[in-house]
Amino acid sequence: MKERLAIYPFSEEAMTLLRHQDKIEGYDITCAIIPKGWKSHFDEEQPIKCLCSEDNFYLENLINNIDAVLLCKFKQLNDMSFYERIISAVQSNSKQIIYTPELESLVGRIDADNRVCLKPPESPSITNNDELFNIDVPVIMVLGVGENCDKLDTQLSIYDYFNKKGYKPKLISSNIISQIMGMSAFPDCIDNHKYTFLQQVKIINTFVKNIELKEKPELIIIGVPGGIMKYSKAVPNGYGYVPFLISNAIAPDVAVLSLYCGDYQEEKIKEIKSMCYYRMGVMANYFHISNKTCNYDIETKQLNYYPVDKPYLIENLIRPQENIPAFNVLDDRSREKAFEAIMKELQANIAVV
Amino acid sequence: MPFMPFQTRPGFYYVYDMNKNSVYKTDKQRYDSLCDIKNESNEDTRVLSEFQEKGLLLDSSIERIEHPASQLLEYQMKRCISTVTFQMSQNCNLRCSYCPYSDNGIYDNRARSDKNIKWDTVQKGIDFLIANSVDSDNLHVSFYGGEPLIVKELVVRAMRYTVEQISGKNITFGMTTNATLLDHKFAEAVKDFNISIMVSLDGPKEIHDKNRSYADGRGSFDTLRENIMNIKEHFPELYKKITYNTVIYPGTSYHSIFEFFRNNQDIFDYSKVSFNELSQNYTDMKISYDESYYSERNYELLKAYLLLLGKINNKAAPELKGEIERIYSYKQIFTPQKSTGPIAHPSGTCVPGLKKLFIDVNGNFYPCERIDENSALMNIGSLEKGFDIEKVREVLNVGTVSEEACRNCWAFHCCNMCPISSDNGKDKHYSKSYKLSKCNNVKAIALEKLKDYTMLREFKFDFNEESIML
Repeated sequence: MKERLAIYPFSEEAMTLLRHQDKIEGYDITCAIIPKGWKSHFDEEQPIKCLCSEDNFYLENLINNIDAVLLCKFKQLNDMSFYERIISAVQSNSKQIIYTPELESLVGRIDADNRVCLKPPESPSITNNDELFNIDVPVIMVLGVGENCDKLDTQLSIYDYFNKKGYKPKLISSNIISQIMGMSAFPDCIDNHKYTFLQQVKIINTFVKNIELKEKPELIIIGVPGGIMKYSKAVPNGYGYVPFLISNAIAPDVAVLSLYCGDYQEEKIKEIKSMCYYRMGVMANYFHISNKTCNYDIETKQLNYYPVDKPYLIENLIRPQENIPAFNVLDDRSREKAFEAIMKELQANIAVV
Repeated sequence: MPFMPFQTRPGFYYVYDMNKNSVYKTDKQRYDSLCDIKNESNEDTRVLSEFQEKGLLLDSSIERIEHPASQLLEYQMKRCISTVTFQMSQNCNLRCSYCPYSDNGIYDNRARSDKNIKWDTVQKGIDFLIANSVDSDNLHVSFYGGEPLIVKELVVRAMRYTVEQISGKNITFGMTTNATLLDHKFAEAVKDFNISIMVSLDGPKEIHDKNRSYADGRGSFDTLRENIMNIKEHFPELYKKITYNTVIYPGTSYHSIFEFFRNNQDIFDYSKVSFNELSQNYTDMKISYDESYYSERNYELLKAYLLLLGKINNKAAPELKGEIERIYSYKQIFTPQKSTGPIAHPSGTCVPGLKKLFIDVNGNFYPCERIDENSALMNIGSLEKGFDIEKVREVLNVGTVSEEACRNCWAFHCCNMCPISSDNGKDKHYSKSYKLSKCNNVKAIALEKLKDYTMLREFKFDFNEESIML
């Protein structure tokens, strides 16, 4: 019997969890709690039955109908008092709470038995030898031009495709929350400044090699956190540090780059490909076009993201660019076509001994 | 030809290249030649060709004028609204000499009436903001008039309602007021909301009272001062969030206005004063300022330059904050680019209604509070019908009415023409002749900015905003 899981706060960013809830081990999502003033309608083909407003959640005491709460931290949420009420409710009703490490200070008061932190795995120990291990199974790398361009959805869709084709894929995801779906996350060395760049590269390489040896996957999908380049001087986007690090640690056989929603001309695609190749040594040949577009707000000095709807995306942006080849995970036709091409490309690779 | 030769000081010659939004240093001979070409007084184009062989000063690459937000406009308007400004009343307890609501014959964009906004309209407006701001993390609700404090209970109710309806987003409030009704009770009611209050204060009592008086002719300065003093004493946190808007009327003693703020910093913080000339929009009257005004303002600007270049003590910084912010904005304007794309739009316009949606007492939508409420062009929707997206698109693409001129204009990337300044308030669509009539002034302002920016660069100023603490 699976435990009943609530997600708080629920927004479009958490839709990926709903779309892939069959992968969540031991839990059924039975309640998606929408905070006051947040979007309550989602452009899904099937109505989402588990949606519930924050007011109703408390008024109808729905905490009694769940066993655990998955607490999500979205980047834009800076006011941590936002979480106070749900944490108090979880605590007083002795429910379980699942959370990411950045919320540790808030949930620390909850009994340790009822807390599950989705921590990144520990970094493996490395030798002094600088030489990197070869990864002997095919590797698909999923990169993004920035944050919020549906990398996780893309990784999970690739995972599903190969899984259904009878392969045994392994996903090392860009998003720590994917651990709830049984995926791996990158080790903690990525954000740990005590390591040099050389050590970080070596750790990631060793980490992936260990997975290859222990779990014996037939395919490794690597979701690379962050964006591959700075957006502008005002929005450095991590200067593409993490993608540079990971692409030095692992050479992919195929790379998929997720772009923001837009009409990409051939010239632009060439420029992006060159940038990926000369900056990271990665040849991106498949392009996921997200339904989200990205704008720089000169007043707040932040990037704003907003999605377009699926029919517009497919008709105006995916169909005309399928030859790139471009696809979107929500569009069956372009997605299947791109994934099939990836599979054929990998099947055609000759093993070098 | 999309380039502009200019000088900053004697012996310093430059040319600005619109296509690359870049400034190149040159010498007198080349400068003279480019000026001649620009003025069509010389057909010798060897110098220009020399630049063009290097890929510089090329003909405009713009094929079509279209704002980049046009394509996905309806999605953005559905999800990214961040601010609404309510016209709380068309009434005011003052009869300021230059205010449109005073029926003074200067502006014809507004008329005073006794009409106040209804709660139902405010509530629907806030609900509209919430429904159309899914992807905005920061929401702002602002109160404007007439005088918004005529309906102060509605202002408080609106703030309360907003915070009750939203969680997990940063909510701020703003208000523009003459401060005569900014009493203790109101301050008490709003002190815990994140509200900024802009007070209209025109300077010392004799100047302020001359322009900002009650209907019976009494000046409003004393009441304003008393209210600000009370807030300073009893609500220090709220006091910190008070700023001042000072309208300088032509012919007033500018020196005494600036001196007033310099000498009364204990109550009217100079760093929070924004000096403004009378608007040139929606009036047929020629508004001009004399030499003494510009010498005062330029003196402040000079001090800001000297401070940024480290030539004077930066203790003077707070009072120069406005000037300094303006100078830093030049960096955004003149950021070099590889090229200008074939589809582009002149700078200067924001997406109408996205950042400053103005909702009048009747629930009609306008791009911002500075519009002509009688302009059919500027009415971009209503609470009842939502946004008229085609109208928003038309208002947004202000450059299309003067497409040919804009495509080849050297000031394409430093234009400050917005929908308001391009609307004559009378026609249903933009008028090409009206818009073009404003271009000379816009280009003159752009050239001054260009010169100032380049001069600061000459002095190795790096425009690194963090290097100065205000």
